[in-house]
Amino acid sequence: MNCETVQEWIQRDMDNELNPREEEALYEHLADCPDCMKKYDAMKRISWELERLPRVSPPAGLVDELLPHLEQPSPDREGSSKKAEPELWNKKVRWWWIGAAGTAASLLMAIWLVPIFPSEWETSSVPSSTKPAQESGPDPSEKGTGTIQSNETGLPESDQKGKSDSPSGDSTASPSGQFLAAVEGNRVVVRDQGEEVYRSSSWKPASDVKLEWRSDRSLRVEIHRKSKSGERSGEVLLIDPVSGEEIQQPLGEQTGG
Amino acid sequence: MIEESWVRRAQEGDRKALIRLLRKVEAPVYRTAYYILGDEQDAKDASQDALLRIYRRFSTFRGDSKVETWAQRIAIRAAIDLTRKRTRTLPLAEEAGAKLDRGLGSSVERSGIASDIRQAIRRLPESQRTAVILRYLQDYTYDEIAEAMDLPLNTVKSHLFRGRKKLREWLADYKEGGVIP
Repeated sequence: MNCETVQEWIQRDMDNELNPREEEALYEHLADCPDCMKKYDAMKRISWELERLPRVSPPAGLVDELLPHLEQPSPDREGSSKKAEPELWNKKVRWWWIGAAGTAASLLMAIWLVPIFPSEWETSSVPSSTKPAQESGPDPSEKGTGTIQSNETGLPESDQKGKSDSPSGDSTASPSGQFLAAVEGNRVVVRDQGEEVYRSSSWKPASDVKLEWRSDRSLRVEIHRKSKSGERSGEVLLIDPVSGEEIQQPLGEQTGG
Repeated sequence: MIEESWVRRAQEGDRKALIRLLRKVEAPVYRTAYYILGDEQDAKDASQDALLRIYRRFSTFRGDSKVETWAQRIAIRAAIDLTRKRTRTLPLAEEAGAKLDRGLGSSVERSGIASDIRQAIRRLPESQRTAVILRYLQDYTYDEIAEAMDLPLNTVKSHLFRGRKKLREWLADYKEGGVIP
């Protein structure tokens, strides 16, 4: 075995790509060749340093910030990419078709139909999740039924970095028991028999989050914040886990459902 | 590991499955972009660009490779596109190094040598840098690196080996009291 081959084997050894026999042959050579041994040690050192490089985490809300862009069909979109949207589109077309069938009978009938599909028509005019989250929320420290108490003021951003959302284990069931909603970090996740069916947009750190199911198709999430001066603010998310609709309102408005 | 059922649903145009998938790949995408570019803001821009590309091109994903390596391929492309754009406006290596240092900020514990290694990585040629990043920051095997870089196995091995050899030589100089060139 010559020193040139050994250099390649040293490299492969760093990646655990040598079989036991090759390993043995390599170590035998190294024992007899101080020059190769020196290179081996140096390589081991750099490999060790590389393995210890920090696994940097992205800022919270990277995908959330993109959501509005993903919903708008853009003119420069590649032809092949259109596939991502037809389902959403078809759904709307289907509703219109049903509406149109009604209209065909009489205009009166169509007017009567309007209240039946309000949520579908509202959604198209409501801009989707908007605020990019600045940081992920702290893990809940106290648990109550449907209410998660979290850090009063929110930790400084530097303390939050690298933290990932973790399930709180505190779930609220929908009226039929089909869905379980839980606050995970700074968003709410809805599961159907353990399988995630909906993940909300993330919110800014809150002091208190309340979950309330109004029906299986309507989850109300109240997000409360209290500033250091004691000023209260917050917002309400109305979520339909089936259609994936999410409407955000300022706290205090009691509309929608 | 991303569940196959999600991938299938995303391929069929299920927007929610696709967004869920984006959330799964955002961290590894960002990490690669960060180490290619060496700056948090640039890494964020490149990651978002990559995530958009993934979203828009997902119907072209044929499942010949793992979705993770396919996403990495797009992340590498987006980061390198941005590097080239930046190189035109920021030709000085010193500035790139300074950006890298600043980029890590207070969020990551730093030691002198680790910081120098990050700078040294940035000075490797693109292909060698990418191979080193995929091996050490994504824990990829040779096969996975080849998939992500869309290059033959022997070529990526050669990029990885050459890059690592250069780093070893620089580190040896560094230990002898010099600075990484």
